[in-house]
Amino acid sequence: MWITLFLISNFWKLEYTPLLSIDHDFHISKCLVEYKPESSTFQISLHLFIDDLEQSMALEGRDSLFLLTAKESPIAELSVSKFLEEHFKIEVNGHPVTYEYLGKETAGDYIAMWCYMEVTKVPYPTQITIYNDLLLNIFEDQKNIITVIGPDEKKAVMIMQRGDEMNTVKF
Amino acid sequence: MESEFSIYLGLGFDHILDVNGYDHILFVIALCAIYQISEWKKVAILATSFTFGHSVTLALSALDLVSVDSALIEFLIPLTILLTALYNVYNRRSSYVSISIKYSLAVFFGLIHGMGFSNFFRSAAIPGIDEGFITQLLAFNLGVELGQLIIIAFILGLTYVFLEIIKVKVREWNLFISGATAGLSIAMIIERIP
Repeated sequence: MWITLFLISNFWKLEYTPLLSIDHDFHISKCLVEYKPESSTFQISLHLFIDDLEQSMALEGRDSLFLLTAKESPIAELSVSKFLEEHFKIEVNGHPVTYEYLGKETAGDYIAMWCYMEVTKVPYPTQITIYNDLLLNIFEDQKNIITVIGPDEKKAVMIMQRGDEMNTVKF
Repeated sequence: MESEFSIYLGLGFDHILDVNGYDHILFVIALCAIYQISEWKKVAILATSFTFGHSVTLALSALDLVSVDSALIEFLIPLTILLTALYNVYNRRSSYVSISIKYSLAVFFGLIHGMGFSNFFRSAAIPGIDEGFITQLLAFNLGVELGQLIIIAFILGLTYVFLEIIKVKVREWNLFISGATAGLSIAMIIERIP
């Protein structure tokens, strides 16, 4: 009897516990890295699911950030920028470059977000290497897709997944 | 380096065959698994009808011409499985009218699944780069179709083994497939109540 009650009470929770609610049953990020010759910069836009990012950040002790909500933590911006620095790296012509984290905003559907970064004083890129292991540690099926627009608007697409976190494109 | 086309083809292929999100596989099973090899034409028409439906809404939704709440779509998808399974049990298979109704259902339910595919596709595609977006969409859709063909080949093989070799009765096989897919879809429906 008690077991039945317990089961019923927990079954009921399925619908209401946010942790178990299904917003997206797939794990994917997309990113646009665009070389702007007129300003010698890389403009980077990165699209991530908010819940996935928070889950991954919490594993590194960066928790309770409430990203892009009214009660967002005051250290959220710094945490996100540090987190990205560790998991998303760029090399131009074989040399690492650092980017500045510009900010973030919700994507249209509010379950995802865009992060914006910028690399300034970029040398003319003949070869771009990107390391991106974002969320790969928590989801087996995580895929990170990156579109790179190089000089003369030449385009390359990369996909990062477990065991394949780094890709290089030559222009 | 993989090409853009092969990357998005792979995404579509992996998406429909994803064991963690097996709702599309389950639908194709409910739709096609009750037919014998000799009825392969029906299976081909059903699969084509489903493909037509989901290609239309995938394109419309990817191009932002149609937009439906993704939670609602995720709820409706298992409902299409349940209704298909129930129709399998109810329907008198020999009748011309009943198979025609099923073709129409395949198109209509395809429209719903297509919006599900587009939720995934939109998370992976970069809009705003004109000709690239169309390449990505075509490659993704083709990947989905290839995955679907594999599912259908598997189903036809499995059905052949049970109906022609083990000699399970068609009606019993129908009830087994329909019951199993209905049961799994009900669990999904409950999980996904918006």
